[in-house]
Amino acid sequence: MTTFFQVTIDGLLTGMVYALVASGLSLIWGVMDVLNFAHGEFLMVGMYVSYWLGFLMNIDPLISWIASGAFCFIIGVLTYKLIIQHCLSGPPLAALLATFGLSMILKNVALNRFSPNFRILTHTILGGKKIMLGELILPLPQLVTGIFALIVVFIIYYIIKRTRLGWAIQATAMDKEAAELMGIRTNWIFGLVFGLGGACVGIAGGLLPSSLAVHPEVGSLFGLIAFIAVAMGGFGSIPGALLAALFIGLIEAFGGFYIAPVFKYVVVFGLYLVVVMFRPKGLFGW
Amino acid sequence: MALLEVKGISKKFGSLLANDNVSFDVEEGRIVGLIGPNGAGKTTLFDCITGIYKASKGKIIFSGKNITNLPPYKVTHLGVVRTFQIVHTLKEMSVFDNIMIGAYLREGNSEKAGKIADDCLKACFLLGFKDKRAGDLTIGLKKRLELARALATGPKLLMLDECMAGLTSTEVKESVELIKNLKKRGITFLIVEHIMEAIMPIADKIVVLDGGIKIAENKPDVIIRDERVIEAYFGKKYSKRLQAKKEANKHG
Amino acid sequence: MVIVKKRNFKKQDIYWYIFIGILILIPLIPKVAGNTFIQHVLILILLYASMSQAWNIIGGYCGQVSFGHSVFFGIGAYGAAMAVVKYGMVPWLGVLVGAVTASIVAILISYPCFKLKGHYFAIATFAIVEIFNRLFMVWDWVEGALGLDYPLVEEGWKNFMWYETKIHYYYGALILFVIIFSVVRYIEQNRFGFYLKAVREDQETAESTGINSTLVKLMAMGISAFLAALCGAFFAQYSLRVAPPMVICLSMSMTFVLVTILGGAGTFFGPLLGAMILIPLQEYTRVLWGGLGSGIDLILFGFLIVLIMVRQPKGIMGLINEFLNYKKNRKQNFPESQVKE
Repeated sequence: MTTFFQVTIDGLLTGMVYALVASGLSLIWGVMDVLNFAHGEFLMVGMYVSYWLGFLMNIDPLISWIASGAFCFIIGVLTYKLIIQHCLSGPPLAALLATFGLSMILKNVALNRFSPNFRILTHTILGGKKIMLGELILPLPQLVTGIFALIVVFIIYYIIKRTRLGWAIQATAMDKEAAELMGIRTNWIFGLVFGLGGACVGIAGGLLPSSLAVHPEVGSLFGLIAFIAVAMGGFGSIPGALLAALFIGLIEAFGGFYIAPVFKYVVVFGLYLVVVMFRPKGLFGW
Repeated sequence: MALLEVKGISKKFGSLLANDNVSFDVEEGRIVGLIGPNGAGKTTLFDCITGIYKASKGKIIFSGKNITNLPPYKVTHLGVVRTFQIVHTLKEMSVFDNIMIGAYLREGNSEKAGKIADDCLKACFLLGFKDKRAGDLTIGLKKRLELARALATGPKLLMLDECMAGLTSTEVKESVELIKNLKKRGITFLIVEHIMEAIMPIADKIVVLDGGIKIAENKPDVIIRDERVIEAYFGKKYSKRLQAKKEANKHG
Repeated sequence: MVIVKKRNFKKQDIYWYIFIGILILIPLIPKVAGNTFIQHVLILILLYASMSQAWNIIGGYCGQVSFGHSVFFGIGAYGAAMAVVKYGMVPWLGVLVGAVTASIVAILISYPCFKLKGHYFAIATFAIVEIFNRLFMVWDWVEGALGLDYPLVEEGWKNFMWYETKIHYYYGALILFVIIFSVVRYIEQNRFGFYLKAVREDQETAESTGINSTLVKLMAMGISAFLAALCGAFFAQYSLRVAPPMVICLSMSMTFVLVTILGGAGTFFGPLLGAMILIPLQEYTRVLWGGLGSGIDLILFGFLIVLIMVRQPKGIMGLINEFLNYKKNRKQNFPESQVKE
């Protein structure tokens, strides 16, 4: 029974990080209908920023997440301004493939500059510590990262739903032309949203080096899982992405433990296909 | 037996009853006009007949065959073809290729299909635009293209949904001539139209819808005097005025 | 008027035959005959052009962008490899079985997927590739993650295997290329091709003109998968080794897509143009700067993709058409230039 709860906890903690990554992606997809293939690579960038700050200047991830988040925000805005903006007038595929190209560039620049070696920060405040809940182990870095991730997701959700800026974003998402007629600078909103999406994933990346090794390929799987989570949750729904991400974290943990590690992701991907057969627009999509 | 029999078609969208027990027949070789104020349910009826929507209740019989709830492509195969209110051309393809899509329905061979397409091209006065990109045409030409494409499928019943909207008066006259020519070829027409000078002169019968219900079905010259039709279009005031005039004429 | 169209086709046909003639004669050039690296590059160009043309049927002409084609490629590769490695036969039966299997699998899995729209469909195809990859990794019958290594067999067309020279592989690739391109040419000029384009343009309108769009999509998928599997079989016979990360992976799927899009999706020459640019770029940068893990070739690749997507998403064919239209407009707007010419 304890194992069951342990697996559940592990799954939820992983899921919370997925949720933060997925929320950023969901925001971008929901507002401008672009699937950011480079999202996983943004995570990688965030992780490297945090790693190098920790390695070179001994700044702990608990602080450097700010830098990662800001850096990835800027990368997001630049990606929009230099690339995505020009793709929006073309076929929908153009933006997706352009972000794929970007992901190749980012991945291989990291490979070229930082080598494929796995790098881990050895002396972090949280690293290696854990809280015991009876017999259950709650690894501290994952716990803090997970809680932090949830907080950021809720902040983003709050911004979208309750602030004027959020309403402008929603309006742009629902009907770009109508929003423009209401005086909303949609181009600016798009840039901001891409930046926010990047910031979300950058914050996640900033905290992760306490518990996860950094290497050029680290983003790929996160990116893929984020796609699945967002699509399963449904177009334009951050709560949907959150729930789906948590669900995926659980399924991954249970699938890996009770079936076989290699089948972890088969179950996740299979689940996506099942969900989408019954609800072609995801669980909460519009 | 009529070519098309609409029997008691009702269509509900949630709580909105778009079509309420609509019934009428379209005889072979005739032109039937379907008129009514906006929101009367004319396009919804078209969508039910051609299988884009599943009717909530009722039957559609075409040439003796029950076509209710058949998918659109099957309905087209049987000979019922429609055009759309908001014209749908295949924008990136040429005018000729658009018509070829229609021609290929009955004829798998490219050369023979090409001849059919040429024929329809000429019949719809589109000869000068053969290789132009369909998306670049004016709306009037696009509508004619849609008609040509529909014609190329070798239809028995052509259902036109506001094909005159947005046309200049010259273009309207040309379209009317075209429909008359096609009628001579033996094609039956069911036409939704708002432009009365286009539909009234050529229709053999007019069906009037209002608020989802059929309120009248008769020859054109009778319909324009029908009180319920006038009330539907112009409101109670004018139908009362007409009634008062009638009474005055009776007594006077 | 139909005669005019026929003449246009004939003009293109002549270019096509001349081009094939050139391709047949290329290995006779001394520089090519002696250099196995150039032969390798040429073979890859033909192979990737063929693969992408197979994808083009469903992804380009029909507009259903699937990232799942490496599954079919992989099934074809395994078909050939299993026949030779596990059963000690000539590959040909395996090739046929692989191609037919790929076709059936394609139709079965794409039928439910066609209900999905836009990005949901794309993501479903990612999921499918990843699932098949994992499944093949643990499937003992195909030796799982270890993969299949080709044994030494007698050289020749029967075994489709050569060790001393690549020239025969070149002609094998050329035959594959001609087969696939001829199939697509036939499709493009006849009813099926028109129907593919109509479904891509506007599915609802296509349905109202009598096109059974589901059937069209399934047929396109089946044909596309069959041809992709043939390419996979060639790849296995050429690489002498087959393993899940090589043949059933997202990056292979993306290559199908990118080569076609780069050249021009939905056009006849697009896949060839895309392969002619991408493959030499890939192979030469790998030789010059690649090495182990330097990744510069992929950085350039990435830049190229971004550039093309931003500048002209219709690919090289799009750029060519832009240029031709520009010249045509100049002639129309500036009669003086017409007089000069």
